[in-house]
Amino acid sequence: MDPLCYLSLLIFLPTLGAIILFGFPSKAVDAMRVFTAAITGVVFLMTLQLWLGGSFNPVLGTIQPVQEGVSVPWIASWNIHYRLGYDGLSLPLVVLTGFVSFLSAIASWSIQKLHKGYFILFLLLVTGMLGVFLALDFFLFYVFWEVMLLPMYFLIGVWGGPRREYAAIKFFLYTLVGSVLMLVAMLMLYFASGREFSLIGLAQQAAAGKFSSFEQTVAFILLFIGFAIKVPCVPVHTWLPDAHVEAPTPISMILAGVLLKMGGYGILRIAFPLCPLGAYYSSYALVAIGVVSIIYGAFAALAQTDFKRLVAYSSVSHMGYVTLGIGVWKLSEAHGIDFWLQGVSGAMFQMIAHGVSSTGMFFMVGVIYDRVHHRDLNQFGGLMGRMPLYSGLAAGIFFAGLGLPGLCGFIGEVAVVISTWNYDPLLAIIAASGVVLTAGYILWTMQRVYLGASYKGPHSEEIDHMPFTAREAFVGFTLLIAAIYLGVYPSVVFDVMDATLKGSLETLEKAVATVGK
Amino acid sequence: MSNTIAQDLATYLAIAWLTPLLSFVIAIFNGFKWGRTSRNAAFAATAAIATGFVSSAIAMNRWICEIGGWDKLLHPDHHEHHAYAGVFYDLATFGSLKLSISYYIDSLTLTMFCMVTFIATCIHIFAMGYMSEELAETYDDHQAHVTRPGRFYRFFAFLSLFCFSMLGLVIAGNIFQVFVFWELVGVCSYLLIGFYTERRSANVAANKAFIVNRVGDFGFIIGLMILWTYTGTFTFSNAHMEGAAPGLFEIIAAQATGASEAAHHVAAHGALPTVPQTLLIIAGLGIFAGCVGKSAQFPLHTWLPDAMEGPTPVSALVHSATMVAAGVYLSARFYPVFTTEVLTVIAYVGCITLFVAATIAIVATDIKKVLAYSTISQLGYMMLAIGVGGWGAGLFHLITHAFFKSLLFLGSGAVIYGCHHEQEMPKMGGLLKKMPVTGFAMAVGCCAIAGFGIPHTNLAFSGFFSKDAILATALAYSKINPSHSLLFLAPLVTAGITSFYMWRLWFYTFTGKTRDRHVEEHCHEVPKIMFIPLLVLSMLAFGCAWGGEEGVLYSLLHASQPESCAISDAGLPTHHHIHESHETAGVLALTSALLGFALAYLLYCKSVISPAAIKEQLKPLHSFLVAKWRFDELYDAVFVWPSKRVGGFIAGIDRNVFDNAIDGLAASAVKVAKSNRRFDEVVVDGAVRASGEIVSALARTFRVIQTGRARQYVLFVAVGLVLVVAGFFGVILPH
Repeated sequence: MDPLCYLSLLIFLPTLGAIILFGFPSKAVDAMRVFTAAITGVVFLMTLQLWLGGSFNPVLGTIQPVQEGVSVPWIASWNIHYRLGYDGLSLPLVVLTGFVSFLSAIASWSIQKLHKGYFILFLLLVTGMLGVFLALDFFLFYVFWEVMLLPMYFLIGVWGGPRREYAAIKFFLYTLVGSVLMLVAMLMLYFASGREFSLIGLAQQAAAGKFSSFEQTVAFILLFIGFAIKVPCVPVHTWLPDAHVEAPTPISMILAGVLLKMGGYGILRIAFPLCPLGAYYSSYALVAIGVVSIIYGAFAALAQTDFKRLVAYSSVSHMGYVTLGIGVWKLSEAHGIDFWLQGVSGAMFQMIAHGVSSTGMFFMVGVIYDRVHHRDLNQFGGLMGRMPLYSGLAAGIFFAGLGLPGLCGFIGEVAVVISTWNYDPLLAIIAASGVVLTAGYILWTMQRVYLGASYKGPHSEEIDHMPFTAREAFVGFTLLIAAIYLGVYPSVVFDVMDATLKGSLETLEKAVATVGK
Repeated sequence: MSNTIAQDLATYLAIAWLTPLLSFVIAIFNGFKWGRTSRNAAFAATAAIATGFVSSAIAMNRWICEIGGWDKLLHPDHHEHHAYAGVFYDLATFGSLKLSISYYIDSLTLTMFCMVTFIATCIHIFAMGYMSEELAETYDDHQAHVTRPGRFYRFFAFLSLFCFSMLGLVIAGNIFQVFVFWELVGVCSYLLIGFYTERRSANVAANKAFIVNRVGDFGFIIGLMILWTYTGTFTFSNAHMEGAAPGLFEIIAAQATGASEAAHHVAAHGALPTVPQTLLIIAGLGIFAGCVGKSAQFPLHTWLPDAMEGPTPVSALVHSATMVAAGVYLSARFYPVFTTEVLTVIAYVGCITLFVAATIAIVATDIKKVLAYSTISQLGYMMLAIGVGGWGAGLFHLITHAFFKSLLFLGSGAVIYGCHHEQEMPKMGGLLKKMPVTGFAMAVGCCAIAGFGIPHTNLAFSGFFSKDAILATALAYSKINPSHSLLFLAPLVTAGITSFYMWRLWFYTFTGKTRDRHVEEHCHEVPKIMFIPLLVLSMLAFGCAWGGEEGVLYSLLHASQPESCAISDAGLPTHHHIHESHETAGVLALTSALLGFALAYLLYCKSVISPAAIKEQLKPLHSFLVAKWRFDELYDAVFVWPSKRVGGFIAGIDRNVFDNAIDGLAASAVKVAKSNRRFDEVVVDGAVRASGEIVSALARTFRVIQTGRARQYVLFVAVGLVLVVAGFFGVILPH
C-alpha cells in the first residue's frame, strides 16, 4: 500500500471506528467493547507491521519511508503540509501507543456508564496520539496535539472519580498553557525560517545556523516548558496526580503509558533539532530538573496514602530519568557523543519501559479498586493470599517499576544514570541515590497492599465475589511478559533507535560546534 | 585452541547456570496445576541444581585437563592465569560503549560454581523434608495466626530462581552484569525472607534486607559511573584473548605499572584510558560499599540477623553460604582495581565487623540469630583477609565457611524441626540423646568454625586451615605496618570469642537438661532425607580444606590470584612474610579457640559459674549487646524517620504550595471574571439600561399623542409644517 495511505489509515482507523460506533444501539455494551478492542487490536497490529513488516530499515537513521516524509499540501497558502513519516525516534513510541491502546481498550470493560460516548472518545484519543507521533509538519503536530486534549478532558471529566471536574479542568488548563507556549514558538520559527512548517526543513535550517542564538534560546525555553508540562517535570507536575487519581483506570493507563511520552518525544523531535543552541545552553537546567524530579517524585511517593496517587508520583520520578538522559549533552573529547548518546538512548528506553511498567501499575491498582472501591494504602493487606495470581503479576510489574534488573525499568534508569557522571558528578550522585528511595516506596507499598495476614479494608467479600478474570489476567500477563522481554533483551528497542539517535545527535553537535567557532 | 576450551567451559557453566531458571519457570507455571500436595516442584528444582553441579564438575575437570592435570595444579611451574572471557550477547551499544552479558571463567569461577551447586543440592534435599509441612491444602501459621494453603512449590521455585541469579553473578564477565545479578539475588533473598508473607516481622525483615542492600548499591552505582566514564568499559579482563579490547584489569594495571607492560595493547588499540587516582579510590570504595551491603558488613550489617525470618534452608543457602559471600567474592574479583587506601578500608571494615558481630553473638538466645551473627563475623574475617592482601586466604575461608556454616544452619534447622519450630535456646538443652545425628553434625560444624586442629599435621578441621591462613596474613601485615596491629589482635581475640559462642550454642542446646516440657515431649530426630545432607556436609566441613595451603582447594583458588594494582608500594605482605608468620599465628589462634571452648564448657556444660550471675553483674553491657549495639535505633533516627518526614514535607509542598498557587491562580481568574461580570452588569449594562430607560421614558411621554386618529395626525402635520415654515422664514432667513 502507498505509505501515505497506510499511515493515514493507521491514524484515522480509530476515527472511522468512532464514527461507526455512533450507529451502535446504546444497549449493545458488549458489542461496543469488543468493537473498540478489535479496532485498537488492528491498530496495534498495523504499528507492528510498520516495525517488523520490512518497511522500516533500522540502519538508515533518517525519516522513513521517504526522507522528507510522505506529504500532500494541506493549506498551501501558508505552506502547511499534511506530512507523515517515522524514524527510530518515533517508531518505538508508535508501537507503544498501539500496545497501550489495545490493552487499555481491554481494560475498559470496567467502565460503568455512558458506554457509547466513552468508546467514541477513547478512539478519537487514539487517533490524536498516533497523529502526534507520526506528524512531521509542525502545524499538523499542533493540531493532533490539541485533538488529543479534548477527548482526554471529557474522559476524565465525565467518567472520572469524585473530583473529576477539578482534575479535568486542571489537566486542560495546564496542557493548554503548554500548547500556547508551543504555538508562540512555532509562529516565531515559522516567520524566522521564511514560512516553513516542515519539522525536517526547520531542523535543517536550524542546523545550518539560520536562527539566531537569541531566537533559539527563547524558542527552546517556550517549547521546553510546553513539553515539560507533559513529561511532567517538577515544578509543573501537579496536574498529574489529580488527573491520574480521578481518571478511570484505562485512561490512567493511556495517560501514563502514552501521553507523558509526548513530552519527551516533543523535546527530542522538536525542541532540540529546531533550537540546538538553546538546547545546548539549557542542558544544565534540563539535567537539574531531571534530577530534582527523580528525587522529588520519589519522596512525594513515599508519603502518599492513596494507591493511585503513589503510582502517579512514581511516574514523576521515573520520567525524571527521561529529562535527565536527554540533557547530558557535553561537548566532550574522549568518547565523542557516546555518553550523550547513551543518555538519550537510555531516556528513550526509559519512556518505553515506563510505558509498560506504569501502565501495568495503574492497571493493577484499577483491578483492586474495581473490587473494593477504595485506594487507601493503609486499608489493604493480605491480597497475596486472597488473589494469588493477581498479586503475583502485580509484584512482577511493581518490581519492573522498581528498576529490578531483568525487567524493563532497570535498563533505562541505569543507562541514564551512569551516563550522567561525565556531565556532572554531583548531579549523578544525587540521581543515583534515587535507587534507595524507589526501593523504599515500592516495597513499602507492596507490603501494605499484598503482604500481611489479612485484608483490613471494606468490601472484603467483593474480593471473593469477583475473581480475577481471564481478561484481566491477559492484560497483566501481556504487560509482565513485555517487561521481562525488554529487560532481558533491551537491544530490540536500542537497535531501532540507534542509527536515528546517533545521526540526529551528530547533527546537533555539529550545529553547536560551528557556532562555537 | 584456547577458543574451544573457552566455549566448552562457557557452555558447561551456562548449562549449570540456566537449568535452575528453567526449573523456576516450570515450577511457577505448573505449581498451581500440580496441586498443593505435589512434590514435583522440589524434584524439578533438585534435579536442576544437581544437573548444575554435574555440569560444573565437568567444567572443572575440563579446566584441570587443560592446565595439565592435578599434578600441575598442586605444583605449578610458574604463575600463569588460565582464564577465559567472552560475550554471550549484547544488551545495548552506544557508539563505542557496550553493555553485555558475558563470562569470565577462571579457577575461582569454577570453584564457586562447584561449591554453590553442591551446597545448594544438599540444601534442596534437606528442604524437601524441612518444608514438608507446606505440602498440605491448609497450613496453620501459628506465628501469624492464620490458616492458609501450603506453598511448597513456591518455595522451590524461588530457590531455583535464587540459584540461577547466584550463578549468573559468579559467571559474570563484567561488573555491570555482576550488578544485574547482584540485584536479582537481592530480590530472591527478599522473596525468601518474606516467604511467610502473613507474618509482619517477615515482611519488615524482607524490606529491610532489600533497602539496606540498596544503600550499598547506591555506592556500587557511583563506582560503576566513575569506571564507565573514565574507561568506557565494564569488562573485567580480556583474559589475554587475541583481538579483545582491554578490560578494567588491564587498564588499571597499565596505569599502576606505568603502562610498560601494556605496551603491546598500546600498539594494538592506542593509548589506554586512565582513571584519576582520587576517583579510582572513590570508585573502589563505591564498589566495596555494594559488597558491604551484600555481605552484611559494618555498618550495613543490620539486615542479616532479621533475615533469619525466612525458612531455615534459606538461611543456610542464601544467608550464610552463598549470597552473603557474594560481597566477598566481588571484592576478591575486583581486587586488581582496589588501591592501597581502599584495601585498608576493607581491612578495617572487616576487622570492626568481625568483632562487633561476635560480641552480639555471645548474648543472642535464638539459635539462628547466633549463627547469623557468626556469619557476619566470619564474613568480616574474609574481608579482613582481602584487605591485608590475603586474597587466597579470604577465598579459602569463603569456601570452608560455606560448608561448615551451611552445615550449622541445616543442623539448627533440624533442631528447630525436631522441636516443632522452637528457636529459643533457653527452652532447649539435653537434645543430644534425642537427636544424636544432628548433635554430632553440629559438633563437627562447631569444631570447624572454631578452627580446631593439630598443627603440623593434616588432622584438622577445614576452618583451622583457612582461619590460620587469614591470621598469618594479618600478622605478617601488622609486622610490616606496626600501626595496624589491631588488624591482627582483633581477629585473634575474636577467634576465641567465636569458639566461645559456638560451643555455648552447642552445650546450651545439646547438653544438660531440657528446660521446656513441651520441647522435651515432642523433640525427635529428623528423618533420613534431612540428616543425610547433614552427614555429607559434615564430611566436607571437616575435610574440604585437606592439605591446607598445599591442598587442592587452596591451590585451585591460588591459581587465580591476581596481582593487586597496589602491590608495589602498599606494604602488603609477600608469600615469604606470610610463611614466616604461619607458625606463630597458628598456635596463637588455636590457643585462643581452645580458651574460648574451655570457657564455654565451664559456663554452659559444667555450670561452674552461673551465666545468669555474670549477666546480672554486667547488666549495662549485656543490654547494650542484646540491643545489638543499638544500630537499629540509630538508623531509624538518622535515616528512616527523616526520609519519611522529608517525604511528608514534599507531599505537603505539592499540596500547599504548587496546588495552592495553581488553585489561587484559578481562583483569582474566577474573581477577575466575577468583577468583570459585575462591571458588565452594573456599568456597561447599567449604561445600556439607562439609555434604554431614557428612551422608553420619552416614548411613554410621546405615547399620549399617539392616538391613532388620522384627522389628528393631519392636524399635527399641518401644525408642524406651519412651524417649520415659520421658523424657516422667521428665524433662519433674516440672518
